[in-house]
Amino acid sequence: MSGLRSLVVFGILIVLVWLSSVALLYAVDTLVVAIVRESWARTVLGLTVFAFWAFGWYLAIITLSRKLISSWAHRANERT
Amino acid sequence: MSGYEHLVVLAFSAILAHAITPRVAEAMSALNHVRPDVHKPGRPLVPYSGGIAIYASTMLALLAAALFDTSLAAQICVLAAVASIAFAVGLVDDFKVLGGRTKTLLTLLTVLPLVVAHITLPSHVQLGRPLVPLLGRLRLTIVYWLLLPLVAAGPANVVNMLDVFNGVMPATSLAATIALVVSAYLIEPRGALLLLPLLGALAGYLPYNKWPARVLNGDSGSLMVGAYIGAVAALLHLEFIAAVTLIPHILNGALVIASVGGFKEHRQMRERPVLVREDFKLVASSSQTAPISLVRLILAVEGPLEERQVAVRLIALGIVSSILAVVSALLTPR
Repeated sequence: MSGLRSLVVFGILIVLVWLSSVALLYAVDTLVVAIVRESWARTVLGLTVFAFWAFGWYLAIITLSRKLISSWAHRANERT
Repeated sequence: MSGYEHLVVLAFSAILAHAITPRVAEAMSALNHVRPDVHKPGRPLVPYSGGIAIYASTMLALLAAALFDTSLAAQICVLAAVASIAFAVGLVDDFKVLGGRTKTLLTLLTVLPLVVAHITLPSHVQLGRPLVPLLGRLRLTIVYWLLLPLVAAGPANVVNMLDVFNGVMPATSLAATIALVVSAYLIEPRGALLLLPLLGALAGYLPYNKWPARVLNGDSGSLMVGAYIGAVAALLHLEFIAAVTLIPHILNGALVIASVGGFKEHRQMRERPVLVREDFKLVASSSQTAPISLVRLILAVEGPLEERQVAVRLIALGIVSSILAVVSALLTPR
């Protein structure tokens, strides 16, 4: 099972990214594209929503990465 | 166009790649164009730029595809042009190292054939309005054109950035291409022919690059394969599905770029994200300032692993995202 640990962690992460991207597209299409007329304002609004989604994932993944690495460094120090 | 002809193109490409690759490896050895395989005892020198074999077999199989279905000739020309630009950038980098930023900027040129064909041959090459799950054709009118320069350059660079161990690039790209072929058969069966030359070439090439590699891909291979996947996705409106197949690559690219603060070649990095122990097991760097990569995180979760074990995990993640890509295609309204 230990050999599957990284596959489980990053597999779940990939599934979550996929689900959230489908939800994002659906939300943008139904809440922005369907309501706001085609214009630069709609483009900016859509891109802003996308930017928030991307920034949210960026923060989540960087936080997870730092936690995994500091936990690894702690384990490695204990061993030595 | 029958299924029989699709099989002929696929088999032709695979046999060609399998036959050409050892010849390319011999030629590269004769030119002393070799690189040390740094994760193996003794750091053996291995022929470089195996991407030449992938490119040559893909192009010849594309030609065969054009002869079978002349109605796809315009799209095939665009694909050939995109792949050739990415291959040329990669080949120059293989022989004369380009900076990370220069290489990335040069790959942006891959958008030109797509734009030119869209403008001059609008009845044959239509870009825009990607297919997405639940919604069908997305109503992207302005944003699509703003993001278009990244459609081939993005996949080219992220595939290149995950080309770190024997077999990973061709195997993960093979999984991505299979997912795209299945998606194309579900959504736009005629267009699947455009993917078969790459699928065959990767299948024929993989046995030579899998652990222990007898030839290394070089950027000529990874940039070309990534650009091809991006370009064919744009031509078939499968951009979202292609992005899903490449989630591990995108994740790795985003982590590296964010942690090193831009596009840098691995030679330009002061610290390595992964260290090689004396027993040739790989271990995650515990330095807070070392770059973060997907491989470093895998090693941080699992502890020291052999190169082959890391490669298996990366390929498994590629298969997971390829399965999600097929699920996306199944959820996409026709």
